[in-house]
Amino acid sequence: MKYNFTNEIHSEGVELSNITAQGFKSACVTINFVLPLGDRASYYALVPGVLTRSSQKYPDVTAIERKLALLYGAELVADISKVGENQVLKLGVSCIDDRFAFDGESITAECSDLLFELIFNPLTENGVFSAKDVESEKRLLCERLDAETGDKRAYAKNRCEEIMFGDEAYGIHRLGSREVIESITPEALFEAYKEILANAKICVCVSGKTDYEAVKNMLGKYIGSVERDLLTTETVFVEKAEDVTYQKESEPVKQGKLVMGFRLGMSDADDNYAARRIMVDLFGGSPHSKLFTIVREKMSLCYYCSARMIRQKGIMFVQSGIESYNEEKATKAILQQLEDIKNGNFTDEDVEASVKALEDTFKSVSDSPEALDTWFMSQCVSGDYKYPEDFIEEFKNVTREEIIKAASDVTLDTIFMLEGNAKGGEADE
Amino acid sequence: MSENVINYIENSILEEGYYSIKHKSGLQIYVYPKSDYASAYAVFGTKYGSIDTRFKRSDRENFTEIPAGTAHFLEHKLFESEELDAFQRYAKTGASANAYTSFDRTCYLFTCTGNFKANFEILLDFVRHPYFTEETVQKEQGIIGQEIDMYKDSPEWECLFNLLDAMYINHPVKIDIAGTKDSIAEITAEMLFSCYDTFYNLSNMALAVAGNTTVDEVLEVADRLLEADEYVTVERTFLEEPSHIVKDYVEENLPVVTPVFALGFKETHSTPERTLEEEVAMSVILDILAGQMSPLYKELLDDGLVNNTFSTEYFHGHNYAAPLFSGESVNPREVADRIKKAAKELKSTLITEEQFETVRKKQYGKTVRAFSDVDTVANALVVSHFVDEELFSEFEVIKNLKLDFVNEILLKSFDEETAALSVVCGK
Repeated sequence: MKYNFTNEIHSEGVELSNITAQGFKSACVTINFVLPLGDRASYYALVPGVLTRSSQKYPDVTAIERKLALLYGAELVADISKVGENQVLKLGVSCIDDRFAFDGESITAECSDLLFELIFNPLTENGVFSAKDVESEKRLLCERLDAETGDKRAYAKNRCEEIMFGDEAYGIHRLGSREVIESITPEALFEAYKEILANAKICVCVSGKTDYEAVKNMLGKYIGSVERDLLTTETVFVEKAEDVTYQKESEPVKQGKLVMGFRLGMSDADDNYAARRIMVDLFGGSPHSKLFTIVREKMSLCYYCSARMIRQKGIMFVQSGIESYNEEKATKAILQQLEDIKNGNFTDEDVEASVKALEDTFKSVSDSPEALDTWFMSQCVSGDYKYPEDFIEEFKNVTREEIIKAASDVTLDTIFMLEGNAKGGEADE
Repeated sequence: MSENVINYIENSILEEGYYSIKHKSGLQIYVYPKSDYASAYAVFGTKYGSIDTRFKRSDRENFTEIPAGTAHFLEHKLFESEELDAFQRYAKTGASANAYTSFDRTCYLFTCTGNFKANFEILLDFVRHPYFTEETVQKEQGIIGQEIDMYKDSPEWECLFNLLDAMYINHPVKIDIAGTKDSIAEITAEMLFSCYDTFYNLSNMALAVAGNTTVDEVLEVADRLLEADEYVTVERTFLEEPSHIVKDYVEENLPVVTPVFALGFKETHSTPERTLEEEVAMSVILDILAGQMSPLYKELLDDGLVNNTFSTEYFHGHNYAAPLFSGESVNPREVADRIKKAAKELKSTLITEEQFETVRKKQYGKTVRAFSDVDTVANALVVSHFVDEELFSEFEVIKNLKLDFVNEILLKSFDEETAALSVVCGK
């Protein structure tokens, strides 16, 4: 869809973006808090849950959910992610467009009100968060961490990250750690909440047909009363791995998980991004990639095997599900595909296919306000907002030599193997 | 040769609509244009899923019984051809392609932001031209074996299928969609051709396209590539399913920290499929009983018994139906007891007008929202076709739904005698 994006600086470290388009059936408002990823991660990760659990006007989950239902099934967003060595807390509401309301009421205006109410008017007892809500949200956050331990694909990836970034902030889990979460008191959490309001870079994004000026006024009202002290961080880019770290664990699962972490040789997030992105796609990003067509299809070494680039840290992960006895074969085959790219063993058609695939992904961003919000807000850390189209042009101009060079810059840093020691065949009754 | 018959169906709330085309080849085609979108999404589906294991073509004498997992196996194999496989062909034209097999259908799809016609040609071509040999079938047995193993490690997947196995005595819904390593070992190339011949007849299929394309583009390709099949129908047969369950509790050990559970209430109906009215009514009931604004949800949350993964679903298809409650809990039995208790209470107080109107608003909003995504729209067109419903009728159903009808359904539901609980927990 045709859309228009604007961005303005509200005050130091506070930005407002507006995405408008004709015809969207939904609208959304998100408030993104960018914080340095560090030892406060567990505290910060707990705040979104507590804020969306209750407020002064809506004292419990039932009241909030009832309000959302009356707003035609509006949805709350409370997401925590890692962007480079930043922890980003995203709180938002998305709803259907006002034209669908039964009685001409403004759904979007009420949704923005609700979002600001939840973030800035929390329910308090003796000046801090309600103890009951904090305890309950601590449990929920710990169970989210536990679920990642139960999901072996996620677990293996998390372990690889922990090992690979032992000395770097990036090794910290976006949700923090169970030990710290369990120790958090309502008083300490309220302090963390105040830190977030004071220290975070705050990016508000209004998408769809929502009254932008009203949101801007509300932001002014709430942020105006906060004494701000902006804290930012620079993500460390380690260009080369010194040697390969290997770790193996064993669990009673059927399928083994092999995760390999690589350094891409980037000095910052923009360092030859386009060529590297295409190289990763050729290597293991799409169904025509080498990992898919050769390691999975031709050699039948795994059920899934793919590579993903993390631009904001200059790294790449290969994740695969294999029979544990195939570990050595699979590792060798995966590394061989990278060698092949270094040696120029790929066709111009392969490159073209990657460019087309990326073009497809980037272009379709414009089809929903939620996707546009995600696209632009993922860039709020740097504040250097690019359009999907900007990258498409860059992809088209990448040469063979640049791709070969990008592959030559890659070094293997860490291998984590989760060996499955359960018997094959049917599950026990 | 007959001509294409084209109808336009419009919805006044959304102010948009779609073309329903009875194509001269015998295929039902739907085109939902969204000219302001960057992407287009196409899905070509057959009404053939994992539960279709006993069937015959209307022009054949005898019923055939096939091994579990054949529909899914065939899906994997159709991507191959003698030369380039479908993925390689799509890579040249620039589309992101996939396929899925569910209990009652197999669908092939792609999404793209350019080159629609070229991509669409590939879709129609490979689905219409099966190619496999004994050798390629054998190779696939290895790949799918891995897939089956992977699902065996998934606590949620295992929990669901253990529940179905506890609830159903004969119905094939209880068997993993991909089958078992033993069942897929029985699959041969000949068997796949015979299934293809039966289920991939155009009269048993549907094609839907949504997004940045036009009827003319779609029909230009369809007219050129689709040759009429001889008209046949598929007869399916199922072993009779008793109304009772196998067992009320099943447990499996997997390395999870918080146990995963699923509670289901097996229903028996006199007709094989649930109507859209029944489906919407049940989702209203489930939302009021256990949705996030229900007193039950708050109580379970406050008492540390569920987390944000708690959800409800009306699980139903041909000859099976069961409201399901699933999630993670340190004490699944206690959760199950509380759900049963809350259902009993709701049956005695009944749903109030106020609760009903609140949830109706929510349902309406969700329905409007669903029409934003080209993939949701295209898949919904295929699904509605297979159950003989019109895509927009959900709006009418929500608007005209009566509280009395919802309460009537409530009173017939949640029979504790047919409830089963499945738990996956650590050792």
